[in-house]
Amino acid sequence: MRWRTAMAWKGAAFTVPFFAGFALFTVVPVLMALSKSMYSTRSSGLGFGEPVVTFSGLENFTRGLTDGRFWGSMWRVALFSVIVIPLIQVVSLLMALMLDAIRRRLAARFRLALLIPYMIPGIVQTLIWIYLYSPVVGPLSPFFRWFGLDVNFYSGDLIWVSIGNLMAWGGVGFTMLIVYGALQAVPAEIFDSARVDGASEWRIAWYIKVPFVRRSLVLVSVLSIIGTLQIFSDPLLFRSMTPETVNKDFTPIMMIYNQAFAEGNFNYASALSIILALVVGVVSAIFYRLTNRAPV
Amino acid sequence: MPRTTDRWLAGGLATCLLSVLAGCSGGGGDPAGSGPVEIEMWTWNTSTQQVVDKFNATHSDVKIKFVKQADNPTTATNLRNAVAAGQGIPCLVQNFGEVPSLLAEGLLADVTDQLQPHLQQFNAPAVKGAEVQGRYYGIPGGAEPSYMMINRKVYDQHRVAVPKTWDDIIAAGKVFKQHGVKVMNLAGEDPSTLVNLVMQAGGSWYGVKGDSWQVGFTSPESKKAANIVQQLVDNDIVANQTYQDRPALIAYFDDGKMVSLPTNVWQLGNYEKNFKKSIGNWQPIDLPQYADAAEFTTPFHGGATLVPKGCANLKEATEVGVWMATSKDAIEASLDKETGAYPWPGTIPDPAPYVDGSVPPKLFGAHKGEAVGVWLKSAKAGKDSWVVGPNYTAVFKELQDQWALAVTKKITFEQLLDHMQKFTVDDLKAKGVNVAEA
Repeated sequence: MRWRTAMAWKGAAFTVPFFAGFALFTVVPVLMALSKSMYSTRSSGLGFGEPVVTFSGLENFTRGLTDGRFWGSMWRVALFSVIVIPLIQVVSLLMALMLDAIRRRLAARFRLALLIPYMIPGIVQTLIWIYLYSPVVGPLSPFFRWFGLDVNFYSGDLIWVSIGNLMAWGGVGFTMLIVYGALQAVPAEIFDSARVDGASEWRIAWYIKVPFVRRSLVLVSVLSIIGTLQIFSDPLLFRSMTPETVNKDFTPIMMIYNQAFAEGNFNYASALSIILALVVGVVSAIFYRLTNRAPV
Repeated sequence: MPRTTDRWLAGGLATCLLSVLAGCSGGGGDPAGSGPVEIEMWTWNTSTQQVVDKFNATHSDVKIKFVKQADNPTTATNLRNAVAAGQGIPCLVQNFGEVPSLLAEGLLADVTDQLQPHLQQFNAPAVKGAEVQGRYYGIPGGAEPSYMMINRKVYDQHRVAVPKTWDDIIAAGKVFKQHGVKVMNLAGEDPSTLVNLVMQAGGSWYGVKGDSWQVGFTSPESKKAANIVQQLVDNDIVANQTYQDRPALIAYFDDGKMVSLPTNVWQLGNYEKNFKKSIGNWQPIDLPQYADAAEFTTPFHGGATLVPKGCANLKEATEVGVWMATSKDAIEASLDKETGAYPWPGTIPDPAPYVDGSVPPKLFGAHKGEAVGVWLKSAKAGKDSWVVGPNYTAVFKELQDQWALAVTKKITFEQLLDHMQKFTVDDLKAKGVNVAEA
């Protein structure tokens, strides 16, 4: 028994690097944010004296929960997510199914090509597209004008389409790869027996392949929800090009960033961060609950 | 054998983790011992290195340690972190905001006693950039003269006279409009045109009455300024090109489709280098005035080199800052050897000896000789009526958003002013600051 305990401890010891990092870079900052969010910095007189930090309990949270701008940005991003995430999943699934249908060696080449956008850092992706979208120097506007279409990718009507297209371009390769990986794990005998039974390739795809990759789809969807609700660098760079469309509180993280680093209001920013984390957590949990049932 | 490897791996990992932990608590020792006093300076301006080298070569009791920062926002974040942590605080920092707002954030040190003996070395309006309520919190940084440059060729082509007033600009814009040319550019992210017009009208958005702030977004001067910008926008005579997309902007300006540009001396090198079609067609002219202006006035609102709270050597920091801003040695060391231009010495009473080199050789063509006269006249006419309140950082961010809406006609400038008045008063109140209702 003692030997077993020792071995168990030894095994557990291997998780120490992870937990130490997790504690240091996740738990501690969360606790610090939580404590910061309970305080408020207040000035007095003309506002030039030493600001006083006082305990304000849940005041910052009450303010955050009733802040129209914050929730406005939250709804804006939520609406965007509802459209763009399923779209990316469907496109990725279709691409994975097509890859799966062709010969392996050919598939390997496409796989790499489709993954390249994902390998490019997010900021660089955005810079590339900002150039492509630019109505002045980019090639896309003249291209559409050729067909008699006056398209401005920075206008209020198109800004989310522009950002969504950028996200899809960068994210499809990754999602497809995960789904493709799951497809590879499906035992080949099932397909063989389906073919013997006379099932067409379409039926095989829809009734066998898709149910088998459902878990993977749920996983990448949850990751997408988390990532999209926290969207930041893309709109921030778009803001520099089109501030009349993308305002400073366009997405929740942009508002938090602005509060913390432009206005120096760390207390309120901490409270908003915690609210956002809770929203992301709850949404992800609900989605997971609703979708992650065992395949029928 | 694999066991040993595992052990080594685990040990290595543990060491890495420990060193990460140690990294958090170490560092930041103050070298207050014997030897010269070291003044750490943060800027994102690489050319400062030359000036620092000159100082270190000519001084033995004080040395400057030059720490290059990435850019304006990074400097702001780093300084906030350093002051919050109470260690690693520099003694001089390139200006990244307005002194009163940074003071209200608790970032700045009071250097009034140290700066007082040097004040006569600065020109009068420059000094205001470092002042809050009669005390000083940095080294005055001065400002560049405001003037305008116009594409004279296009003006002549459409027989439009050189504008002297803002009304002339609006009238010119209506003529240019018929030819598909915009008279000015109002970038969606940059409300400085409005700010400068308010300053030129002698107004300010903040004022102090007793121990309370008075917010003046709806003052007559603000409305006068808003009226000009509103006409520019309503008549569709201005462009909205962003300053962020430099290549696009330069190409647009160069194209002859936008013909008047309020500008600074430091930006000329960029135009000189990148204008292809319009090089030589531009003319520097006096900044347009209000039609009812009593005297020639240009806005002059300087900043300051910041002295952060927690700097251990205020006296030496001030001396270094004053030397950098006003001494002959420092100005001469700042010469850009490639262009032969000095950065505009906006702090000293007489900038005349240092301005000839700033005239770009080709940009102004036949009007090259007029540049220095225009600049010096503007520098002399500079007035600083501008008072900044403790929440100007937040207010300016909000103003940017409102400005973007107003230049794209989603709201009027009158609505912008009303919104900003309310926002500013509410924000001051929320921060616990006294505000008197107007």
